[in-house]
Amino acid sequence: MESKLYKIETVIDLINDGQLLALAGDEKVLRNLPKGNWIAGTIPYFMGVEKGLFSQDLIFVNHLTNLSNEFLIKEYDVANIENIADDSYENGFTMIIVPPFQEIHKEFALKSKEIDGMYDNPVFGWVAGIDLNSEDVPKTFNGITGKYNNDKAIAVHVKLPEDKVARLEIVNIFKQDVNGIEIQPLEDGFEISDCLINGEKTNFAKYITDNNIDIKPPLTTSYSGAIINVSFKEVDAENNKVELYAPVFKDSVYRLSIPVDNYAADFERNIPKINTSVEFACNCILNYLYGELEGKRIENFTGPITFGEIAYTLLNQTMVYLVIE
Amino acid sequence: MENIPSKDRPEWKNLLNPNSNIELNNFVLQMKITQAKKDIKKGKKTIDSAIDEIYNLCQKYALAVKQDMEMVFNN
Repeated sequence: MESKLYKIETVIDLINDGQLLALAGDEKVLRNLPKGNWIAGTIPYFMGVEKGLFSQDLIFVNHLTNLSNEFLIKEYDVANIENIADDSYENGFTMIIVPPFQEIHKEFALKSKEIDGMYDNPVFGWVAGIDLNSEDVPKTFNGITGKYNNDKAIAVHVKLPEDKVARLEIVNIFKQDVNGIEIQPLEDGFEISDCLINGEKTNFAKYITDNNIDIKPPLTTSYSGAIINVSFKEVDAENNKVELYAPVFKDSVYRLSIPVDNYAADFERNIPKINTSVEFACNCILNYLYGELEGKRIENFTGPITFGEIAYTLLNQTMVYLVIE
Repeated sequence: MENIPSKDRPEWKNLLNPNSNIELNNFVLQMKITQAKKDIKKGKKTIDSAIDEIYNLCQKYALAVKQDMEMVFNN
């Protein structure tokens, strides 16, 4: 079956049929699902087959049953997240949903890249979210137990047959401003106070304010050619610090990025030709908002619009997708 | 499976040289090599063990890294 938005009645049928599912939807609709082989995270924003949309009634379904019937659903917190790669199958993939602004979110973001075996299989997923006009709390759901949490991540490890391999890719429409400033954080973390700008110690919040820098495009760093984004959350001029949606690392050099005019068109332009079906995709809520993606279509890429994307590590303002070859 | 160049080839060490700035195309290889460089710098990993791990990864994703292998090894 196609991975797309379904009404709750259909999702209940799929669950009762014993299918393995990864779900995304508003908390109110997810709470009405029966126990079964599923994981879920809260979010009411989606890229549907026809357009980007907000819905508190529909549930986005990624069908995993057709890929494998061997799987493990497991909850993670700061005490066991370092085992995530060990828990995966020798050949397969791991999909994880993380609640935002919790210890597990911070721990995963800061340490996932260093976990032994992290790159042996794709580890991907997203950060749960809420209706931005509500005071809801983002949650993750374990379908096996029927319980939900706002402080634990939920993952499903899926085993693939030997003749299949899962490959994880990203689409980043932002380009580094290579002629602009170099920013080197002095500490790892989700905020920057003082940093080195072109080698000189500078307060980053003051620099941004003084130079009237647009903080909609993210900070970027290059990982051997992969541009990794870190989005700005807020410039706190009063406390001289810049808050971020993902961590920066002191052993990396960051640059500002070039603003994007037409997000939907740039995504379509940057998506490579894919000869197989996309099993999972997600995109960022900031791209959805800044790019006004509600009502716009990105061909062949459907999925939740998230509060952070995971592709081995926490990313921002990035589309993540998985293919099986 | 495509043939991945032998681990003895000097290009592997060059790929992991902290001063090298080789830009790759395959996402997992980009992530793995960047992290391996950091781990080697911190003394958490030796160059040889990093080459072993990257070689195995390239074998698994032989088709996806073909373009990068050709670029790095001038095939």
